[in-house]
Order: sequence, then structure tokens, then C-alpha cells
Amino acid sequence: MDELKTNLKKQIVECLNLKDVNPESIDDNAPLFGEGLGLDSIDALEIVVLLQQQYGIKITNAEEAKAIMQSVASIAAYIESHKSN
Amino acid sequence: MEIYINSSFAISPYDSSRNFIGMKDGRFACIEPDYDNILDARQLRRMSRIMKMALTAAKKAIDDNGNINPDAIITATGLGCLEDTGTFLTKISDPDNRMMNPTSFIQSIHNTMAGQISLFLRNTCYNNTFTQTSLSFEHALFDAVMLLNEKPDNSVLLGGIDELTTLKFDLAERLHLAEKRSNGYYGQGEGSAFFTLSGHKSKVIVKEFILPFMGDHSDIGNYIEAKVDTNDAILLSGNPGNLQDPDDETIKQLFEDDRIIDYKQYCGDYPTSSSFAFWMANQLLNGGIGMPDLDSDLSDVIIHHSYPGNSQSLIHLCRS
Repeated sequence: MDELKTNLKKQIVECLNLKDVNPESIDDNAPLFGEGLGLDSIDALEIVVLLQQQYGIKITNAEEAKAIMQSVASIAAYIESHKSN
Repeated sequence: MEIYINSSFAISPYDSSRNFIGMKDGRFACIEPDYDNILDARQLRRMSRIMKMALTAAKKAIDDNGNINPDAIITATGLGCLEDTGTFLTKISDPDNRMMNPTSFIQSIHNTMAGQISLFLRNTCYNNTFTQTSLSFEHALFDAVMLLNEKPDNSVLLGGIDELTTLKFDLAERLHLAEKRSNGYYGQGEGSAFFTLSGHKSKVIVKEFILPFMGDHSDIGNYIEAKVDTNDAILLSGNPGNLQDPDDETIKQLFEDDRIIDYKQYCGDYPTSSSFAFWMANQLLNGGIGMPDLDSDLSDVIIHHSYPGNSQSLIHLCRS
């Protein structure tokens, strides 16, 4: 799980071109949108594409996406549960 | 009524302070500022190069006009955000790629730059983008002049932007455009030039423009003879190969040799290169600022713009 979170942080920083953000500095439970990293709706779409390309996960429901993409920890948890399914 | 150029800024391959022309891998390349010092890091991270060039030039032109938020934003681009378009089309042509990244798609649209400028300025006024190949800038200028004729107190931000990407360069080389250099083709170029225009008096007036210009060289000669004293004027020509044709003396008879300047030698060939010429003319008429090797005692500059296979235009700027 820790390795997954570390990878996710690196992938998010690279995918969203967050030049000034060190992946290690991202708190597992910090909100990704609004406060925290300050991401926006286009970033959300980029993360949806990233999750499908890297982990084969399809997110089609916007409300569900909101909950999944709350933090790195919530994304990692969803990936893990998706794998076990 | 008179329309004035109140400020201008260009990011181009030409550094007028050093009389230096930026080249990269044998092609024209804009000399770009350090965007980190100009734009917010959060805004920068998603921007392609052309977006940074457009936003920076727009910001600088507005800053030089007393930071007045414009009443209209009008941009011109022949080919739009090419880098993002190339990225998007490359991805869409990959049969294994079933998910498209949204950013390159969103930013491949021609009016993205005008939209980003309005977001950056928090400006909700008139916003329009013209894309008519080599006459895009002229159409945008036409729109700006019409707006100002109605509301001369308004300030209009006007810009012309095109970028040269590796994909475009390679495609044009495959079409053997480089072989046309002997006929006045100087290679592909790029640039971003922005202006603020209004009815408020400054040194330079947008006197007249003809769009499209359908005549030949004798018609250009007739226009120049009728409108300006060629002792105090310069012709910025984007069609030097033809003008230097030894059989065509019409234009040469009117000007001293150093009064016909091929502006594309400074910026290369691109659809909105007339915006670079517009910037250059404004610099010249402002007393030769940044153009130390050129005569500064001028009253008029005529811009003759043409692009391979497309229409021509004439723009006349003069000192107020």
C-alpha cells in the first residue's frame, strides 16, 4: 500500500506537471482539490485518465469520482479494493 | 477618427537591442524570457509554449499601457496551438490509446490564447479570435478598428501569434518549402506580438489598411506614391523575393535601397508575421527604439504582407 501511494504521488506530480511539488511532501490524507495541492477540474480529468491508463480503473460516476479522488490515500484504497475484486 | 497604438510588446526571434536573430537547429526560434519571473507557477504548469508567449506579450503590452484592463481582447493566429494539436492528434491516431488526455485537447483550440488572457486578466469583455491563414492579423486589426470607431475611449488588446513546432517544420521540409528560399522564402518562423490600441493620442497612428490587397507591384507603387513622401518612409516587405526581381523596378524607383526592409529576415515566415511587422513599424516610428541600425527619422511605414499561396495586405502606419 505504501509503495502504491509513493508511485501515485510521483505519477500525479509528473502527469500534472507540478514542478514545484516534491512527491514525498504530499500528505497521504491531504485534500488534492481546492486546498492542499490546489488542483482543479481539468486535473481531475487528467487523474481519471491516469488511473485508467496505469491501473485499468474506469471511473464513470462523477459523485463516486469525488470521493475516490479526495486524497492520495483514498485513491490508493480504491485501487486496492478494485484489485481484490 | 484616428486609431493610435498605445503600447506594444513582441516575443520574436529578433533581439533588437543586440541586433541578434535567434536560430535553433537551422530555423527561426523566438528568444523567450524566463516565464517563471513573469507568470504564476500554477498557471505555467499547464501552458504550452505558445500560450506562455501569448500571455507574456499580452501582459507586457498591457503593463506598458498603464495596466489598463482592455475593453476587448482580439487575437489572430493562423495555425493555433500547434504543439497541443500535434500531441492530441498523435494520441488519437494511436489505436491502442482509448483515453485522451484533456489538457492537450482543450488547448489545441485556436481561441485558447484569447481565453487564457481573459482568465488571467479576469476580463469578461469582448473576446474574439481570428484565424484566416495569412490574413488573420489583418482581420483582427479590422475588428479592433471597427470597435474603436464606435467607442474611441475603449482600449483594445490586439495580438498575432503562431508557433513553429518540430512537426510543422518537418512537414514543411517534406513539402520542399525550403527550396523556395531563392524566391524570397526565408524559412519558417514564429512570434507573438501584442498591442493596445485606442483613440487616445500616442506617437503612432494606424492610418489605413487594405485587406486583402489584390494588386500587383505597380499598385503598391501607386499607393505609396499617392500616400507618402518616400524620403521619410520605409517599406516593410514580406515579399522580398518578388520585390527584388530585377525586372520589377516599380518599387525600387520609389525608395532608396535601405528603405525597403525585408521584415521576414528577422522573424521568418509564418501566417501572422504581419503582427511582427506591425510591432517593428511601431518601434521605428517611435524614434527607432530598439532598432539602432535603422534610420529613425521617419513619418510613415508601409507594411506589405504576403505569404506563399495566400492573399496580400497593405498596412499604413504613420507618426501623429
